[in-house]
Amino acid sequence: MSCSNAGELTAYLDRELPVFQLKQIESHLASCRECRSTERLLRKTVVRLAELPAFELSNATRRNVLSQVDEAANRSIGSRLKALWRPQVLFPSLGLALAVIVLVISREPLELRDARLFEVGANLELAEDYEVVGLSSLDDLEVVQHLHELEGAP
Amino acid sequence: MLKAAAGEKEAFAALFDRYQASVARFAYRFVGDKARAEELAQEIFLRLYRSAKRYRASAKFKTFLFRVATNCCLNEVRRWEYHVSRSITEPGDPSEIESVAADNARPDQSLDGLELEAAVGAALREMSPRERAAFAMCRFEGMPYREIAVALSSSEAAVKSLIHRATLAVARRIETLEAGTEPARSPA
Repeated sequence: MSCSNAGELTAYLDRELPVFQLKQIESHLASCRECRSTERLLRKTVVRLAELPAFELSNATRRNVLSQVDEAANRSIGSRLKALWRPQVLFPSLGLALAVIVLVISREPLELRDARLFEVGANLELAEDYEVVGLSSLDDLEVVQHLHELEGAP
Repeated sequence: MLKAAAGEKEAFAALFDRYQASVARFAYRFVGDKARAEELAQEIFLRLYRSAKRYRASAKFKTFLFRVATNCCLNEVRRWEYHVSRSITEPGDPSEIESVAADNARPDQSLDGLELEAAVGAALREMSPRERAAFAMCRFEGMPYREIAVALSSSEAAVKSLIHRATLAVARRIETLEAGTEPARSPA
């Protein structure tokens, strides 16, 4: 039967136990032959693992990764633009743009209408002036033109 | 990493150069096959690039990297691609390891690099994927249990247990091959 402390031996070896537990295991090792043997085996194994041959990626893999990252970066710009053409984005955007255009257009005729009203009013006033003065000579045109100034004079 | 996340390709290339050895080692220990490890390492770096925006400067980069790497490797295991494509002629095949060990039974001598590689590979294959990931991060990358727990989305206590079982399994394999006998079941 294995010792109840055996499960702590790897963490002890890796110095991953709290100080009080490290000391507990240390004193346990002094009295438990089975754990001492396991601890020795584990320690030896950890040392042996450092002897394993290294494995490195080939230059082709490096090139592949970096070129795929380039592609992904370029694709992400394209896909961002493409994403704008999705119906979920496109239709609300068009609707919003249309609303803005309608608002701008609907404001413009009001101003134009005001200008036209002013023009009509001015013309009516002019016609009234012609009627007041009566046109019998070219000099009367000049009188009509300055009629309001004459009216305002004391 | 933050520069790489912002789209700086040179920054990502620098990250690749700095961590490619770690990622390659991890992927190789995980799948035990060099060609597959190369593909897996590529996948890990591409996944890292795609998930770069999720990285926060407060987290340790190596932990973030190994979280990505572990997820890729666990997905790989789920797909069973490696298991399906594994052939009897690969260097890590258990039957080959045992025959090599039997032919070179030298109880008083240490195993050479090839035999050691084969023994460790055989032990790794017998582990659960999470044991393998925890073992590789601890023994080959020297990561503390706390960081391994973050990478595995697990508790430190669970990681301690995974690493103990895995290390003991490798130790028994090496011990068995050095002694030239059949592997004994681990008591842990």
